[in-house]
Amino acid sequence: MTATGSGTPLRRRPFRRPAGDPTTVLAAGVAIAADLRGGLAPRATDLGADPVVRATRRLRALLGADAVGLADLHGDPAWAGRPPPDAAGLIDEVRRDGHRAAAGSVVALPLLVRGEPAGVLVVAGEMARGAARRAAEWVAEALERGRLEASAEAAERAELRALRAEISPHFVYNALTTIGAFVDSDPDRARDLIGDFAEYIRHSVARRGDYTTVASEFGAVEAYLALARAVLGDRLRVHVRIAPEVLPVALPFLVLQPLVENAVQHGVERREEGGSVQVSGEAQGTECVIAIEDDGPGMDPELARAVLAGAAAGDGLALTNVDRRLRAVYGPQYGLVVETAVGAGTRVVMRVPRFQPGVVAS
Amino acid sequence: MTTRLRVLAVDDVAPALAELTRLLAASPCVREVVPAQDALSALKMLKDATFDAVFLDIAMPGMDGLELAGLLGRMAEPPELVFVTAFEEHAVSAYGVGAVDYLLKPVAAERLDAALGRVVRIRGAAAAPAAAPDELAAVSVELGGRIRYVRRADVRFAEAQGDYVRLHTRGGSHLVRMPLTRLEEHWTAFGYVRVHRSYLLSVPAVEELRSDAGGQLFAHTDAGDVPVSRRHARELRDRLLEAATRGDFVGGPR
Repeated sequence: MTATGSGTPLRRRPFRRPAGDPTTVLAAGVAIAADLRGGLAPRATDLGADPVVRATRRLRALLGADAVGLADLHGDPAWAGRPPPDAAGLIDEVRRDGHRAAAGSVVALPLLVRGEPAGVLVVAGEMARGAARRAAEWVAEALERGRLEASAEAAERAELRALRAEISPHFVYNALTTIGAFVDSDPDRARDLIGDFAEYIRHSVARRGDYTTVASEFGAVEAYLALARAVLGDRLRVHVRIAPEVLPVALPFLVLQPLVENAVQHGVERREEGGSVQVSGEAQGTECVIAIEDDGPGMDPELARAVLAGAAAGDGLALTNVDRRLRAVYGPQYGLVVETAVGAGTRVVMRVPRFQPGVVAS
Repeated sequence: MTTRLRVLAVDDVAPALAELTRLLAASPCVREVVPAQDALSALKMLKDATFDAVFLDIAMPGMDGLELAGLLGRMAEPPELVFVTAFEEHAVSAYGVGAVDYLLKPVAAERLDAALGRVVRIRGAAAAPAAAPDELAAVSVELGGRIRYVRRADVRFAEAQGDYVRLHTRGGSHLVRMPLTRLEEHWTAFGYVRVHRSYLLSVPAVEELRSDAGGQLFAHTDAGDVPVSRRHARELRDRLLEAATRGDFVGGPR
């Protein structure tokens, strides 16, 4: 006869065997890290869909634990398995003291992200020595990676926003000086130019949403050109052509205007004899094609490539900015195309889809 | 047929109010302008007298323009509402409270006239509910001693020439003795827009907007180029945008 049998009072709940296969373990580790990318605060009302709850389930399976809980610095923890009765007290203790706390087979461990407490991991049940500590380290690392990703995204968004808010102070002062000069000599023109100035500024500092229409962007370009003509006089010769069917096309704020400003600055302003700029917008099948061309000094195509790649500092900042924003919105195949050579002027072409899901002018 | 308007102008910035009042008073459609420097005094004036229209700033201390507009909406016979503001952000809420137009500061005289035109049309339609007969769907012209008719649908643009109007179609142009303003009055509802002191343009006829080296803007049609004055450019662009959004221009490879 054997010592064990049905009805033995010492019988424990079946021991959950930890997942031993390395592929399974690695996959679980990756999935846990993905679940915790957004931090520890529960977000879904449906617990099955909450990524933190999902992470606790994966941890429980990985460790073969009876229960696993993950707690933020405040609020209720997410659980897989039945929460042990001591858990709440242990979590409070860890939150307060920042040290490991244990009661029987229940362990609560602080999650430290860059040395700062970020939450608590609770593990209940028998398991290999050090397993809970390793799990806590893994979770803390996943949280740190999530924070880094989030801050990188926030930085990129902030950068994109900052890029579109660039108003050239040089241009603003020139425009104001010119308007001032017209106040006495030609008050009607001064009044018109103030209207143009208002439109230029309004469009440049617009805070609604991320997208505008070709119509509105061309409106801002016209306002800018009216001011630039007043400042530069006959030296600036601009031709604009726009087909009405592309007016409603949505595109990111300030992708066209900086390119026109760039063409005027580099193609015209720096040359005593002035120069000409051509701007056109038309439909080609399902795409809207916008081209900005100047007959200025042009540049080495290699330099143009470096400028687009962001490798050449200074001059072509507008090109880099617009190129990056277009790629971010429409995909890599929608970057700017720059045709140029030394002494041969510059032609910048931008293509955007006429209808793009998710790209809607506000 | 002219309805001359009694207008209330509301703006908390004194010079802006003075300018708005001056521009409104200069329009032939306006009989009287009453200025108000805040929403409360505007409300008092609205209580004591009737107005055809209120030109209203949005950002004001105390009660703002949108709140005042909400109160106006509860009046038995509310005046027409036109917002005058610095920001485009409010446009959606403005139309939400039933504004007939939305002007951006600083206001240009032509844009103000377009808004007043809208108010006059709405007030006029309310006063005379019977729809005016479409008198000028075709215009009689004399050609080699014979009377012929030019269909409105064929007219790309009309050009004022002294006491006459020249109607430009794809097949040629025809001279008619009539002031351009009369044509404008009848054709505005059919997609025509004034783009210049001397030109009335069919919006769907525009194939391209062009500007030349000197900054002069043109609307290109298959019957020729039409000059567009700077001051009418925004109105035309808005109308083209509306038409293109409706799908009036198919476009494609040229």
